[in-house]
Amino acid sequence: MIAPARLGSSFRDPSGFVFERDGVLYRHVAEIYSEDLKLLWSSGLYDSLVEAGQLVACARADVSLSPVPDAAAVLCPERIPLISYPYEWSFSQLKDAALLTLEIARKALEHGMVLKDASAYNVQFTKGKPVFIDTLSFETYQEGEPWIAYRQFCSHFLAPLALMALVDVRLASLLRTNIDGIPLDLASDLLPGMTKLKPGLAMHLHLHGKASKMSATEDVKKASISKTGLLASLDSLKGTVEGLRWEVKGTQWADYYADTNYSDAAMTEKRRLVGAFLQATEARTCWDLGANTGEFSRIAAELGMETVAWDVDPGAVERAYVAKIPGVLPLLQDLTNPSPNLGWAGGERDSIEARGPADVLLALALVHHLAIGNNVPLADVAAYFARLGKNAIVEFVPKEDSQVRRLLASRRDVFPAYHIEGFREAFAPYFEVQTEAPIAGTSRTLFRLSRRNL
Amino acid sequence: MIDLTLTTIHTSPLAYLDGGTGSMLIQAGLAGILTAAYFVKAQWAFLKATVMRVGNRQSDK
Repeated sequence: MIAPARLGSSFRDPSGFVFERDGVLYRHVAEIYSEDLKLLWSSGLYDSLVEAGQLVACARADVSLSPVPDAAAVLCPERIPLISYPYEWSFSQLKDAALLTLEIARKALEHGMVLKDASAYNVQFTKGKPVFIDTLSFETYQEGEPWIAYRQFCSHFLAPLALMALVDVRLASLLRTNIDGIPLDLASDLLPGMTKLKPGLAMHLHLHGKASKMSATEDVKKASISKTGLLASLDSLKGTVEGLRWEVKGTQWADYYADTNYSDAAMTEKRRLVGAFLQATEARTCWDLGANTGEFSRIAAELGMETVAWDVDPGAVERAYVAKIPGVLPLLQDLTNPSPNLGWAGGERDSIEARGPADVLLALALVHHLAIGNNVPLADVAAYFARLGKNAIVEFVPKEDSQVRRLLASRRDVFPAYHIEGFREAFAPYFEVQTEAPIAGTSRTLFRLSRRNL
Repeated sequence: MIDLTLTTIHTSPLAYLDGGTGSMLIQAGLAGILTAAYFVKAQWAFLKATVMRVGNRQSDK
């Protein structure tokens, strides 16, 4: 048995914490939260949210499983296949998560409770839609109490959504450097001046941003809002979020399939080979690296694999999310600067690597972008793949291919080792070649590799 | 409908977040305007639904 350990991200809320025991996740509920937990069950809020697929379901577990003695209860939440973070979400993913949070806050008020935090990290994606994961985020509503999570909601959701929609979608990366949300005064400064004419943004971001600079005062204890006022605030936030839109326009990769050098027959052959290679791995989880809009991730998902479609392009990830490909979770990831361990003591948010390894990686038409587009030596690509996956299906694209020629068009070719033999040599210390096959109608080769025991 | 009374609130022992002085005050300040807007929106939705219902009844005849 492995000693139970509290998750590095679960330390802020005194109501309880999440811990792992023998590979299973549990939630310790502290004695001080027991009355609120009773109300969560008895008010019907829990059932209402779980039935609507808005809150992750929890089973009761034995209190003796808790690593500390004061457990009022131990819950065993339904497993989320892969934890993802707001800085890895597309615009619509963040927007759907925001709207879910507001709907849950509204429902909580209807049941005599209030959502005591509105962290974007309390939302995860499973089965193509967002779900709230923090069962202890609800407390008994007290008449007159303002929504304590108002600022958190605006920093975690409204500010990044407004910046993505109205300035540049790439500003979502600010969530990676500000894991407790984008400071409202910063968001206000970055937004165009004309957004001060939009009532929702004027109130919840610009005015709020100015107010957030106020120093602490006892007057705050006199701030009081009726329940109707709270519902009105939630409704206004909902309208403001719904009014923010971002549409994918000619991005680097989102139109990739319309601009490849594959004939229809070659594409069909590639699909067939990828399907056969995936099946041979008997994998249960698949990470499609450089997945674009998830065309090949779909094949893995159809084989029953929990599939993540990682891509660097916000437009491609947005399209993959909107397409709602069954069994596929699209996420943003720049492999040349991947998600690191973040937060307190580097332990709150896991790196991509810490969330792996996947049973199988798909790396189709990717290696040349890393090796030539980013100058990463092939051996380093192989070493990193071996840290991310137990098996890998890798497409090698030679220099004769028009896509590689395009990469080399405006630069000197300083890659003498970039050829199929160099690829085999670089991957050999890390992976064993199980199968390889030329993709008919192209100059490319597909490899099925399995990781060596290093 | 507009409720902007200032009374001392009870702070829950479980409220572990710092809501922020400015955020709490601005929220209370905006609540009046937002409540009025919420009321107007609800009345408008009710009026629209009533007109639609009456219109549907007439077209059924």
